[in-house]
Amino acid sequence: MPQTFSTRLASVLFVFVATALCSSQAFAQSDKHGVFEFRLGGYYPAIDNEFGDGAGPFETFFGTSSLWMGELEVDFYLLQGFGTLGLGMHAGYASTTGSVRNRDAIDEALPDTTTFRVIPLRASAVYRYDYSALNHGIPLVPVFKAGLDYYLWSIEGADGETAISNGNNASGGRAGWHASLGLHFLLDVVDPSSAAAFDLNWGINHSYLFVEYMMTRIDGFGSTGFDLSDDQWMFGLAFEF
Amino acid sequence: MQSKNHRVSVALVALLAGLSLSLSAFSLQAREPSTSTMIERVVPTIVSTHRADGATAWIGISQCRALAANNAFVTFRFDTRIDTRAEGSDGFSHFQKAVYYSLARGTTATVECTTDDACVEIPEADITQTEASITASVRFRTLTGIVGEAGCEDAALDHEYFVRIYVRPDIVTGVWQQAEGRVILDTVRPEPPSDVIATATPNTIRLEWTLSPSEDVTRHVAVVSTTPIGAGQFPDADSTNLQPRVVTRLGEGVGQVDVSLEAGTEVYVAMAAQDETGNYSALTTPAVTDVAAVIDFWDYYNEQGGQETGGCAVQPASPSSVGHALWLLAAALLIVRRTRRSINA
Repeated sequence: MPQTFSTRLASVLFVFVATALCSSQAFAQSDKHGVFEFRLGGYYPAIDNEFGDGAGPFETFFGTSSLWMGELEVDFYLLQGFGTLGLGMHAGYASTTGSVRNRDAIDEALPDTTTFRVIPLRASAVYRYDYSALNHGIPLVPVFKAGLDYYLWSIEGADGETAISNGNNASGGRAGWHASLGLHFLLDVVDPSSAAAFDLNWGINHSYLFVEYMMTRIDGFGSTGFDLSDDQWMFGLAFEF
Repeated sequence: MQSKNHRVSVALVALLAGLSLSLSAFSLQAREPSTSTMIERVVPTIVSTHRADGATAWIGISQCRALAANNAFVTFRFDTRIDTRAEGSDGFSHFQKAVYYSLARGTTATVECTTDDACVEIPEADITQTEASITASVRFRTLTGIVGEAGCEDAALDHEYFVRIYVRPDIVTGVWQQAEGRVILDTVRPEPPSDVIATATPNTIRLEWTLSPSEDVTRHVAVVSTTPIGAGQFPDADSTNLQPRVVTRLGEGVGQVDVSLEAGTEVYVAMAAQDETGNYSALTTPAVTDVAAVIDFWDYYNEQGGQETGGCAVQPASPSSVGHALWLLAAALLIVRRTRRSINA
């Protein structure tokens, strides 16, 4: 990721954080505590970046199709006012399976399989600009997130066990960071009475359908090893409670 | 299955002379055993069956051998809803008789057991009535006409044998109801598959083959050996030590079996079909292949010079990285939250 973009994103984030901090007393809503989200999107780790041009090991075994990544997120509000500022915790899962190869002819796919799994864990600072949605009837809520990530990964070998090569077990974790921009559509406007009943019965203040663009850099902050970074589009549902 | 039916039709005359058979119609849809409102369930009690489901028991060649060798009984217990032993002063009886008859496999003809001689009555000595059941037994040899073990395969039978009882609930209606148990006896081996191609790894052998032409094949098996296998052997023959392994079907004519072999080993793989009564076909001409040395993603990544070594260490590259800035931001947010909690308290 270019440093200039990171700087810009950090600046924008700072402005919104500052704004939220300054206006946190204006619209206190005691019955809102956070947001629960679940999302789904494509993911393709940048493992092959380590090997330059051409088909790297990951592409050789797992092809070029993206993995499905599912993710759950719970945000707890720290500040509420001109939007909300909160802290979010995410956990997800993605995996892909490919045929093992003939050691003497790498293009020959053999019956057994090898599987790559990744469990992304994230902590995010989350800013949701929902002021206009709740006060001006504009049912769109921009959401900014940035934070730290830790991806647990493992590789299953042909025997169904964790693969071992050169004495190294194929499992580990990689740290990194992420930043994302999402646009949430307030579903309450579709059926306000149902939304009110949802709140009354289940304590769900608002529901959202959203799309999010997430940029991740999971390369151990530049250390050697797997680069699990990707730029992802994610889609999901969010429930504010 | 048509070729099997043809052979069966020819063999019937000689082998089942003791039984008059109704061969009037062949159909793909077999006739299910008759049921009666008086009978709660029918339970086959046979010492050797390939499987049993409800009132029907399936017997293949190996079970046939066991039954013929021991001259075992084929017994059906009909659990009744009333005590059929009860009898009125006018001579009314709930139970009339038990009979058996046979049909070629798949026949849908109705057998009345009235004027014709298609049915053979079971002697009273082989019928037991209790408060809650009627049990009718027939010797396997009597039922099928098969005398010795060798007769099982020689006879090449593909038949259904029915044991029927006649019962009626009361004298008012007076109508005799029928309830039946059925034995499906198939001593015709299915045709083997062909054109077997094997690809072996230390853990799995992937197989491709041309399906057996026999219609009653329910699964295919493979025998795997590191020594040569002779084509035409039967996997269930006592003279072989070839253990058939069920092939997990992955598609039409494609499947695999789990193995544990060393890379580089020469392996022989032959296949056989198995029908619904458990009969194996002869083994195919074995495919011969070498167990391939496999390489998985992790091995290949390392061989290509990948630097990942596993483990869960966090290794920041430099103190000025974006990651560190974000770690600080997270810490700051936690401090802000704690501070606000303190203020609110």
